[in-house]
Amino acid sequence: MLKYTVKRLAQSLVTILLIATIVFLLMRCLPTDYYFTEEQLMKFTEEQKYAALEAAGLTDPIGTQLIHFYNDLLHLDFGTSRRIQNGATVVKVIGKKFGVSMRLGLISAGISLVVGVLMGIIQTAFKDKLLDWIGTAYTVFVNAVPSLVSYSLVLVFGSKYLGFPTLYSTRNVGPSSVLPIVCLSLASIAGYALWTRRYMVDELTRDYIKLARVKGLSSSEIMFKHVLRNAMVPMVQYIPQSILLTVGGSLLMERFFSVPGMGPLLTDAIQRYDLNVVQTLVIFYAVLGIAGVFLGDVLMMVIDPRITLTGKEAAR
Amino acid sequence: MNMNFESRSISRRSFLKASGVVGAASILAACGGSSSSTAASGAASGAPAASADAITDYVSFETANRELETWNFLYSQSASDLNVTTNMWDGLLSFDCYGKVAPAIAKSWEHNDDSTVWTFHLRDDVDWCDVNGEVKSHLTSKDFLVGLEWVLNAFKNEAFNTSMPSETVVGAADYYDLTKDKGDAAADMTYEDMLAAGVGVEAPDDYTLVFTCPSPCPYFDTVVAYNSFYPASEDLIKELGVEGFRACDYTTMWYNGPYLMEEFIQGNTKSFIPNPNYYAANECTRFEHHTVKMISDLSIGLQLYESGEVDNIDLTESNLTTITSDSNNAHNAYLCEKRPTKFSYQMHLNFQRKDENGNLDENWNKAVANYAFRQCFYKGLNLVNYYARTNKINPLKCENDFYTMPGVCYNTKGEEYTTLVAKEMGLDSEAYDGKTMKRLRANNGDISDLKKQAMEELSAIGVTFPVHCYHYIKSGDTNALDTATVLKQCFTDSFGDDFIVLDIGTYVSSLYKEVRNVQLHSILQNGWGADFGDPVNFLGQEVLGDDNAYYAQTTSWIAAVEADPKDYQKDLLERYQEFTDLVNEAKAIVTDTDARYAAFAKAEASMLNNALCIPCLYEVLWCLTHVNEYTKINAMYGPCNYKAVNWETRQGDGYTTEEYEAFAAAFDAASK
Repeated sequence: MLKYTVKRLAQSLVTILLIATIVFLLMRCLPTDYYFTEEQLMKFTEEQKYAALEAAGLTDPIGTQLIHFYNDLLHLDFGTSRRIQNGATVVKVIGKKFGVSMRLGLISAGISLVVGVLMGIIQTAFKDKLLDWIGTAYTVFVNAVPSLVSYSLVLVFGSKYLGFPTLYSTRNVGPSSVLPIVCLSLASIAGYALWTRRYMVDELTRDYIKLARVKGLSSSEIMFKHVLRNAMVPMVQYIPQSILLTVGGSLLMERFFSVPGMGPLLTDAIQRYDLNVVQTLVIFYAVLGIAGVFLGDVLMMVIDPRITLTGKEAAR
Repeated sequence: MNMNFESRSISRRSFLKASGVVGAASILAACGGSSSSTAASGAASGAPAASADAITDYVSFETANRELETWNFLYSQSASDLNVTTNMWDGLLSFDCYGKVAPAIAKSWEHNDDSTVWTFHLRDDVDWCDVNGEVKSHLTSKDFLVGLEWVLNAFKNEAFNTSMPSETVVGAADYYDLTKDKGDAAADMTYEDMLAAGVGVEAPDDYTLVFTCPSPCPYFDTVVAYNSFYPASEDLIKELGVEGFRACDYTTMWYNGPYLMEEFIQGNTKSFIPNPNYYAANECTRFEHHTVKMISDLSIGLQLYESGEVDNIDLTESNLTTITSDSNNAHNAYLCEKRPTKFSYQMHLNFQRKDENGNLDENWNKAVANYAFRQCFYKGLNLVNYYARTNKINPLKCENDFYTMPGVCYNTKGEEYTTLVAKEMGLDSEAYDGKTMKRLRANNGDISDLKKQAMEELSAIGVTFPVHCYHYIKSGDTNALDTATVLKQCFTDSFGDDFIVLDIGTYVSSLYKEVRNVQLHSILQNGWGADFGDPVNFLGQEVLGDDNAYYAQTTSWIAAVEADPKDYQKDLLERYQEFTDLVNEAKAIVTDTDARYAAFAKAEASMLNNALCIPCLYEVLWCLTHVNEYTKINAMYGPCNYKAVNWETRQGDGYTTEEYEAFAAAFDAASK
């Protein structure tokens, strides 16, 4: 396990460095005009543009910029934002938003996991009956209808008939978080329900289930002790990743409800050519992704001791 | 000429429902008046008492793509920043609700006979305070020297906001070059170095500031209202350091404006509370809380207004359709038409178009150089349906027949500048009738003779028809596509597809980078907002022989034509030269404002009669609102329009359509 961990960490570091370098170079491939807003392009003289680029270090040769970048990375100095919030450190910019996205994301992930898995179990238990059809209809609806439409429905229904605030507010965090969390949970509940049902239905056809029935185990014992546990094995691998990635926020949901989270930050930073923010976010998301996969592997081993990651027979 | 604008209090009549034109006029008079000699402080244009049902916690909105990026007023050049920071930082001068310059920190000002030396007398009761409202230092004329030095220092302000002082203050450009040459060492330079370098500004005492202009500048008071001339505290710069001051935020900056920032959550909320040390606190009304909520876009705006989460909302075309198509809709009686925004939209013609391979598009370039062809655009293009995309109810309120935005300046008789242009063009007798465009009335939009003439003349030099006119929109923007499709239909209806066809192209990210700079467009629509209050700020952008003429250099590309004209462009250049000469003649008139504006009006009429540019649109939107827009500062330039002082508001129901019509009528009557 230790050997595996060290190996994965080393691989991860190389991966992150590669990703950061590629993003760094790709961002530099964009014309420097992208550093300016349309309004600034309209007002600035060429001299002003050059002075602003010079101040941002963007007129240096690419090699020099890359060396500075590695050096800063080595010292965990992620620099300051130039456009998202001029002069603020990137850590500060991200830090403020991180908490908001994480809070909503974790609540949503918890709700989704519990409700989604429960829904999957119920659908399995009542396979091909009304409750199963309702669950399937919900899953199909959520996946078929564009998110913006379902968010709009939640917004209109939630604010008009239930009186929840439309916009997220730090002065009224609880009620104003309800609709964003509902929207965030819609799709993942459907996802968990779909896969839980699918894996459980698969497991129910296995021989060991027939044997368990013959041995006289109760339905609930079969469902929870055997079917659910085995059905969860392929699913748990993705749970850490999906929980960790919730801190990345949801672009659409956060825009829609004006949640001051991480969701729109990366696209905003790319659009505004805020290089330090883009690079830091990419590294951040890469770390989250890699950590998620790693924890997923570990969790899978914990749930199913038959799985090994270091032996010759290791699948991964 | 001397002006003295001592503040004085004017009691405001309580203004509630069912007020008519007279009542509205009273309100508007109280918010500034049209006579500059009696104007009160722009920050406090009136000293009104808030009515009993005024809103104390006002919630407004801003769309997510207009989030603030920098708090430093001297550093920012973006309206999205200044619209926020104007509430926290005051300058020498402000504006009233008619857009006329009004006192702020400067209580009065005067200039010498040829407008080269301007003296400003400052208030002695202005303090800087921190985010907690604690007084940090007293504001004196030195702070304006510090502010100007910061702006002109290439190292400190990174060349932002330098152009206006460089052009209007003696030695400013040289000082900028000096700091640029010094590199990092310029960080240690102070206002004393600036004075020693001969920059034309001095502070003979703590409350007097004198600027010297390199040439007569009769509109300099409108220039100093711009944020390049705002004050900065030397103590704060010392405390934060150069980098720290440049990147100051609401927690570290010092305030001298009407509000303090209580809470800022990027992408979500900006919440203001009154600055307890505001110098004009007793001369204006402010909100106890003023909150700006960021919203994704206007599609959820109506829902927010209905749920009471915002106190005003702009309506989209679909909102208007929903409301007006149902006579029982509760909002029908509350639809309020706003004043035009401060941008005069033009359809800029490209006289040197290139195709996507970078080759000159001779067919278009020949056509657009032809006088009759251009006249067809000006006299024949019926844009009513196009205007309806902006203003579904009264499309023709969006009609723009001029190049300069109305309200930029007034002559000494109180006449608004574009009324002079209208007289020159014979449009002064044409009133809004809601049916036809004013400039199409003379011939009922019939351009058959002009079309025939253009086709004959152009066919003779090898132009093929239809002439393709390329217009670019952002790819994936369905709203822009719908608007462009309507415009295309306007072309078809007005010109006929045998003559001119509008081709809609797309760009990915930047109109300027992907289209304008590579000369792909045939026409480019753009709104110009003034930087200061003189017609030269508009007309100067189109003249020949001036490297700073923005549109001539980058949009109409006439400067490129001038450098290498083809035979077919000689007539075009002659007409441009006539316009340029008229502008230069007007610029030379510096002691007689009326004569100056009259001369500019003549130049503008020449430009429009020659169809060198096609006036296109004013943005006149509809809203549901609890605020009387006509009580807001409404300057056509400068950063003050979003300063939330003296806003007339009402709890309960929003303002009605009738009330807003009365406000508009009173405003028009008072501003003409």
